Order: sequence, then structure tokens, then C-alpha cells
Amino acid sequence: MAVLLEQQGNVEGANLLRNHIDDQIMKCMVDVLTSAVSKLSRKHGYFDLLGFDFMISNANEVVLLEVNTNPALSLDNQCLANLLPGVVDGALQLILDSQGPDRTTDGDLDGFLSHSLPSSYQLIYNEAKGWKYGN
Amino acid sequence: MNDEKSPISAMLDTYSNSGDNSSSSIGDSSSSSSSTSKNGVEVIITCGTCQIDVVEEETSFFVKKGEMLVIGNENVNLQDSFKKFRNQKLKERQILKQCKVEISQGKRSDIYKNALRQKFIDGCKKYLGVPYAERFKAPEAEIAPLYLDCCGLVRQVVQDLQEDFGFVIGKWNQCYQMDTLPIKLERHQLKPGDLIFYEGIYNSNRSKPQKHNNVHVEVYLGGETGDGTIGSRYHKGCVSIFPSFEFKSTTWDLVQYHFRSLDSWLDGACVSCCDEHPWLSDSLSIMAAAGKRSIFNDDDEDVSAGGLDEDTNESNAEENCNVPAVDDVNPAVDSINTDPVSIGNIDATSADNANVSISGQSIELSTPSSRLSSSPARMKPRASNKINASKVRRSVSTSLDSIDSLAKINPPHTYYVSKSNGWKLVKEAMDKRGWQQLPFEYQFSSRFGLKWVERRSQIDYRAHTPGQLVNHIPNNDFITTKLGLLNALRDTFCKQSSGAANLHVHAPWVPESYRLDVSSDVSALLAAECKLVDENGKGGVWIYKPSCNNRGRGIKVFAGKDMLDEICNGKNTGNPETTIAPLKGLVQRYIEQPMLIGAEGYKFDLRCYLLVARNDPSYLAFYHPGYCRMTLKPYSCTLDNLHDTTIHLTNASIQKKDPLVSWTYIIHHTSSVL
Repeated sequence: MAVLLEQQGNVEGANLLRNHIDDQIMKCMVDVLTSAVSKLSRKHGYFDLLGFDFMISNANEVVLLEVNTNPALSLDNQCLANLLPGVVDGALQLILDSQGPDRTTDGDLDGFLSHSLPSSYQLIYNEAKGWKYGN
Repeated sequence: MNDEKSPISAMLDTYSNSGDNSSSSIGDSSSSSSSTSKNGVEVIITCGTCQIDVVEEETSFFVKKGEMLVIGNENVNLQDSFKKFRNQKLKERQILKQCKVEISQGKRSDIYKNALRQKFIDGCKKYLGVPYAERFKAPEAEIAPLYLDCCGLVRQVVQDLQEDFGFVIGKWNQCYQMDTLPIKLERHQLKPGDLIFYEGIYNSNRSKPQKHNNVHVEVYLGGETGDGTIGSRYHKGCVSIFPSFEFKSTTWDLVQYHFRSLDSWLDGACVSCCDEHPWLSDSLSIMAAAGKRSIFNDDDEDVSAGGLDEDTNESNAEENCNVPAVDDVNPAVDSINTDPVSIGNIDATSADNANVSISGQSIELSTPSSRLSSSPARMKPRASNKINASKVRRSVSTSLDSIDSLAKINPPHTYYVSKSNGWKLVKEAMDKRGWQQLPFEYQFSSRFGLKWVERRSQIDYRAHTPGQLVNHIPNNDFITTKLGLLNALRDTFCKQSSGAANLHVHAPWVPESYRLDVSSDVSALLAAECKLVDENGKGGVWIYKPSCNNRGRGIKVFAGKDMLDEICNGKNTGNPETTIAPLKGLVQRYIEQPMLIGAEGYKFDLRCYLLVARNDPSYLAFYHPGYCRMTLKPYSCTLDNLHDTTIHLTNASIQKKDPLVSWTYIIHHTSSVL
């Protein structure tokens, strides 16, 4: 999308996108997680791939619209066909890698997190280390 | 045994070391499944004997509840007693193992059948308290909503025990269930575990009559009254134990009871013995039609074995099918076009000693839509041959072996994905990592390494053991419903404020929001609107969103105090036809001027992904960029066009309906990628 903006001559917009929007999105997700951590059932084995919908206001601010528990994964067009397999494959990779052999510990999180993450995934919340994106 | 430990823990050690922690598959020490026990083993010592009070489900063949274990008196050495006990139990397991062998030869011993009968009863009790239907679910229930109506309970338990029973029960309701239990009983012949079917006429003539007017089923228990049952009644609202099978239903009038013996199923046979309704699945007929070339047609089999009719090739093919009986496909779905489910290396042995090896090949199976509810059965007319029940029964009982083989695959590396929303992507990802896909019929099985489904209701969280990977978190509605999300954010971020200030989450990404179900919020909303009117003369533009719908359903963009009032308070015209109830959900300040893209200026939204990879013992979450969804019509916000969802809402399902079909998605990349 940034490329598209650039093509329109909106270089400023493109940079904005790159630096600002993603940052806001990740911080927003961290906020949602922070608020959910005490409420969601915890058990070894639970995972969730959630879809977050945002809008961007003309003040260049990101606004959270909703969170989806069952984000659409159908390959309706070329864009999605390029994007979604990576999302799912990367998700399963991370899910499998993050299960420690001993259910009561975190396994070798440091180990696998130090490698480059699959697809375009970025770590934003690591409770074991007390680390959250944006802090 | 370790001398330092107390006698009790030493006994427990012996107990757990003397056998594998095997599954519900009886006596099979080669089974590699390792589901953890659901109950601990509690031991109470009274007067030198040890009473087993709580028994692990998996070892209930090993030791029975209430069994008295003699630890010994002052003359007998403790260890010797334990050895004796252990040996005795090992012997019992040998017997059970022998039973297993007999099963594969087509016979089952009484020991096995009695034990399975007991397991069936215990399996039903596991579901006590599960609600009949959604309206009976307690709102604070944390577990995923599993609903069991009368036939659903029976079906669920038989599915849980499908390896023991040796067949996969069909998804049809009590009519099917009765048709597959031909042994009729008198009232006094009922044994715990047998089924009681109720023939009745529905009160309302809007209810479609059932086959044989079969409206209800319960499992006989006997109990103190001698009439007790366990079942799920609409009126009671959840699975319960009833003192008597006799009751007055609010929805049907009883004609008569039908008592049927469980023995047919205990023998491993679950086929229709009703001349009218064969209850055959599509897959069997597909295989029947496949003919000689089908891998299910074994040319080596002796045609006369079992007395096949020589004039019907179709019967031959059905005889040879060595796969579990599958559920019927939803007739609305194209059942012929199937996707292959590769079952890997299975060596299936039929009772007639014909070997069909399916290693590495894909097997075409028609797959059911995953549905939990019991709908009235759909009859699939069979144009040709009348089904000879005994012939089909033989082929069904051979299915035990293929189920066995699946069970032997290490469960931690098996996965189930429901045939919907992106399943092929999941399949691709898991297959390439060497995981084994479970057949689509296994939607009720709680034995899997990973399960990926669309809705939480498709997961039995009660049966979940730690380490089984399941998509989703059972109570994720704390963040996936709009109200839940708003509350969660308020709770966390508005703690310092109080009163009205509590409303606004002070982060730029949460818009000004008001809950319609909280009166202080509604007042604040109306006040905010008033303030806007004072400021700019025309008030604000708002958007109403129902709390839990998706795809843009029910969303309204509106302006004006009248509309606002109607949404918050409803409109009482005095006429029930035109009165509008107040809406539930939330109202937010509409973003009238969003960022637009494209030359003509289209509104868009951004879909990104949050992956919670784990949350125990600690959270680990990742962000993944996604894509933009644009509207098809250029954006403008006038009072006239607020209702036009093709301008204001970017949900794909709304945009898809627009006649201008070529909508665009643009991939949104992170800075590092670009």
C-alpha cells in the first residue's frame, strides 16, 4: 500500500504508513492483550489467530473497529493468495515452536525467537520476559 | 518400590508402572496414545485394606471403583501383597487382550461387552449438566458451549468410545439410533445402558413428524427406583439423571415406549435393520459405484464368502470397504466432488482375510459438513439393491481395524481441521510438517494433537488435556465481541477515573463509545449529542454496531437526535406492529473523514492479524500485517447517503454484493518488507 501511495505522489503518506501506522497498530494490539490477559482462560494448548480491523482517520490516527475470532482465510483474489498462506503457515510454525517440551515452562523461547520469524510476523508480547512492544 | 516412600505412594507407583498409561483402547499395550488421566487416584485406608475410591478412566479395566485391595496384615509382607494384586491385574489384562483378539476375529466376549456397557454409562454421566440448547447455557459459563439434546448425548458418548465400539456412529438422530438397535426388550429385561425410545406425536403441527414417530431417547440406568435414566430433556434444560423414564413432555404426546438392547452396538454392529430406511452414507454408494478399478474393490476376495448376490457388483464393492462408516453428507452440498483425505499408511485387514493396503494413496471420501445439532434425518433413497443388513454388518465391523490403525498413529502428531474457512491452508502447513490429518468425521473426537475449527462451540473444552493445541481460547469473547472489547479496555485503562469519565478509554485507537445497555452510558451519549448540537448546530454522525454480529450485519450509520433517541430508547408507537425496541450494542462517534486512497478517494479498512501463539504459562503474541479492503464507491458523507452501506462499510461481504465486482485488495506491508 505504501507503494501505491508513492505512485500517487504521496511520498509523505508512504513514509507515514511505514513508520507510524504499524507502530500504532502494534501498540493497540498490546493494549488489547494487556486488558485481556487477566480475563482469558489460560491453558497449555490454547491459541488464537485473530483478525483486527482498523480504520485510519484523516488525522492519521489508527482506530480499532473490531476483533474477529474467525478471520476470513479464503483466497478470493491474487492479493490474498499471496498473503494468506504465509499467515497460516507462519502461525502454525510459531505455535508449534513455542510449545516447550515441558508443559510447565516456556521451552526454548529465546532460542526460537532469536531466529528470524516466519512470514512477516513480529513479536509484540512476551510475558515471560515482561516485554511488550512500545514499552 | 522405593522404601523411603509411604506405602500408599509406593502402591501408586506400582500401579502406574505396571501398565502403560493406555487410552480407552482396552488392554492394548502397543497403543502409543498418552492422554493424561482425568481423575487422580485417591486411596483411603481403612483397617489395613485399601479401598479404591476414584479411578482413572483409562484404568477402569484395571481396577474398579470400590474395589477393596488387601494391603496386608501383620503376617503378610506388604510388598508381596502388592505383587499378588499386580499379578492378578495383569492376568485380567491378558484376558482383555484376548478379548481384543477375538474382536478382530469377529467375536466379542461377554467380559468385553459388559465392560463396554459400563463405559457407555460412565461416558453419559460425563456430560451431566451440559445444556440442551443454547438458550439454556448459563451466561457466565466459561467452557465452550457444547449442547446435547437427547440423541446428541447418545451420539456423543458413542463417538467418544468409537474405538471400543468399533464403528463410527452416524450423525442422524434417535430414529436412526433405534433402527440400528434391532433387539427389542420387554420392560423387565432392561439392563443399565440399554436405550429407551419414545414414540410420540408432536403437539404442534408445525413440527415435522419423525420417522416411526420417534421423538426422544434416554439411556436406562435403573438406579434406586428401578426406573432411572440419564438423558437430555428439553424441559429440564440439561443432561440429567431422572428418577423415572416416564415423564410428560411439553412438546409431544406419548404413544408408546420402545425398549432396545445395547447389545447390537456392543457387538460392534451399527447398521440399519429397518427395511424402510437404510441410513447409508454417500461414501458407501460412491464406492459402490466405483466398481472394479476402485481401490476398495478387492479382486482377490472370494465372492461367495458371506453369501453375496452375484448379480450385484455393487454389493461386492460395499463388502470390501475397509474404511470407517462415514456420516452422511448434507444433501445440499455436492457430495460427489470430494477432496482427498490422505490417511497415510494403513494396513486394513478385512474379516475375510483380504488385504487391502492403502499406503501413501489418497482416499476419496465424501465429507460431512461439521454440525453438532441433530436434525431430523434425511432419507437418501437407494435406487437399486435392497441392503442385506448382515452383509453390510460384516463390512462395518472390519472398520475396527482401520480405526485401530489411526489410533496407533501417535496422537500428538495428528490434527483435525474442519472443512471450512481456510482449511486447505492449514492442511498444507500441517502436512508438510509431517502431521497426520484425521478424517473429517472425527469432529467429535477429543483425541488429537491439534484442532483447527471455526467456532469455539466445535471444541469440547471439557475433554481438553493440556498440550492439545486448539484454536480458539474458550472465552475469547472478552475481546472478540464489541461490548466485551470495550469493557476490557475500560477496565484496564480507566481505573483511575470514576463516574462518567470512566467511559472514555484514553488511547487514540479506541473511538468515543457508548454501551446501550448501560443507562449511564446512554445518558452520556445523549448529552454528548446535545453538546455537539450546541457547538455546530447539527449534532454528530454516529454509528451503531450490534455487539456480536459480523460481516457488517446490523450496522447503522445515522445522525439526528430523533434517530439517536429511537436507537437508545426505542420507539413506542402504541402499536405492537410498529413499535421498535431499543437496540443493544454500542454506539460510537462515526469517523466522518477517514483517510482515503485512490484517485477518486475510496474509504478502506485495514485487516491485520494478531496471533496468540500460547498463553500458558505465559503469553506470546505476534503481529502480522494484512490487507486493505476498499469500498467500491468513492467516499462522501452526506446526510442523505448515511444508509448506503456500500459507501460506508468496507466489509468484504457487503462490497461483494455490489454489482461492480472488481474490488481491490492491497497488501499492507511492514516497513521492513518494503
